Amino acid sequence: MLFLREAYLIAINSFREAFRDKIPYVVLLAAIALAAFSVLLGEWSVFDREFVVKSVTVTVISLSGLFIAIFAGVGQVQKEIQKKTIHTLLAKPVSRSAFLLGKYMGLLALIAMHVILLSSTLFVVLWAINGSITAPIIQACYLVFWELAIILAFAVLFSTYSSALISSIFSFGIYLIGHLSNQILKEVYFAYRISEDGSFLRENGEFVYNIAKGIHYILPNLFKFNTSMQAAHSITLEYSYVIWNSIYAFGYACVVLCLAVLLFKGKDFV
Amino acid sequence: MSEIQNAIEIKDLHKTYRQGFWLSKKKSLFGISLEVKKGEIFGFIGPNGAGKSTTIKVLTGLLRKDSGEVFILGKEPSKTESRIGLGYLPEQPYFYDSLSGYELLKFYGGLSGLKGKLLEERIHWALKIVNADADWIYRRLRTYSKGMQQRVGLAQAILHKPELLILDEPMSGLDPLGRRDVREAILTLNKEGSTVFYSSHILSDVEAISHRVAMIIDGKISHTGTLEEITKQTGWNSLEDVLAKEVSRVVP
Repeated sequence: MLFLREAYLIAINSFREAFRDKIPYVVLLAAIALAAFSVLLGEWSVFDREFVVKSVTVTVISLSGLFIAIFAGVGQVQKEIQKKTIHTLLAKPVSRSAFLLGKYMGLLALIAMHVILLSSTLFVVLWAINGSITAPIIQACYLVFWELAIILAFAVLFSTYSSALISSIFSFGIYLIGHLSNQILKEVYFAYRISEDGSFLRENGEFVYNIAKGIHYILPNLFKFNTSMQAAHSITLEYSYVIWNSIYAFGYACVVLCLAVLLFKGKDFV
Repeated sequence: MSEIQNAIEIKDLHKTYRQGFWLSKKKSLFGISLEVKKGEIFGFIGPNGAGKSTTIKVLTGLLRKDSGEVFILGKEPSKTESRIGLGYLPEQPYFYDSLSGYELLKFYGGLSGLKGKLLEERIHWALKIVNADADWIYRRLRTYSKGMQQRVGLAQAILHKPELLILDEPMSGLDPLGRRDVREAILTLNKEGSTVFYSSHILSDVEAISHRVAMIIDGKISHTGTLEEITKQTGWNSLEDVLAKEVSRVVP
């Protein structure tokens, strides 16, 4: 109970810090820009307006959320370490795991606020253009939240032991590979199959394929959370798919946070 | 179970830093041993870079020891419980500058297990002790002078009336009035039952308020005892003379 109370107080403080760093204002600005942009794009596009608005907006929610997850996630932990505010904090009866969990929860609340605000903007835009607010679009926005929850956990993990710049690059790398790992696996397998005898890929194909397989299984399968096309085509996902992906994201974020705690436990604060 | 007699116990403590890109080693503490009894005001003195802050950071759990034994109120610093009865003021207290002093104290008070009316009462009590019960406490911390920050820093350390108070250079950078206030706060808190362990460069203050003193030079404890014991042992008149002699011995 004490652990949860500590984490809760740190989460509140971290959310408040993010507010004072003006991150929510950036979110609000993004929401307004998104509304204007999606309507304009719908007007200009040769495709169906509703199709364009839905597919583009879900991607924009994901990308702007990525920006917040990386910069707020890395920034807040790094700021505590570099500005040494962590010295007084950890000298209180606060465990290092409660500190990290609190930071993560506070920032996750910020991400949730971002997704809710931008999704609401999307619904307003859809209503304004006489589009339909269907289950697939709600499912797509919901899955973006879980995707960002995983990226945020990585941002916290990297920021516990490396600089802000390196942590941001690594977190962005995870996002990219997470979205492409399935594609990479398919491409490697395809190239291996069609490679000629005596070529590098024919000789080492299995090894390269195993590396691609390792990346695919170890790193998060973020492509599973990108359902903007299904949303645009109004294809409802099976609820088991949505639930299993939520459980996968939750579990994955927990494992990454546990790793962060392990690294953080032995860290010296000079 | 027998009651713990020592607020701090350090036996043969070693600490090495790893620094730079290649993580090269730099040893900072070479097997120091120290005991601080409950109820004492204990001064920890030494030149810059001698290992005072390193020792304090090991005690507060911010640094992990290489080897040796360290106990804070009978518990190891790596355990969260060791900090329940601990109050700590770092050498240069850094706080969330977007908060007001009052918000900061509420936050830290909450982390120390205080809430509701008790927390409000303790904030006013602590502010009175550090002579900071004024309107500026509701201003943002980024507008504070060094003296104001030090007072807020001390207030956050004493909010929960800790059994053991560890202060790293609490008087540095303060004007004479600020120094007097900190000195008086230390004496008041000690009278109310807190053990105080503090490091300082200002030897006249150390001589004035400490029950016992330890001197650390180059990562090793060179003298421990009351002021009389140390001056008698060394044949010098003041701590300043003893320190100067010890430093010149190490750095000829």
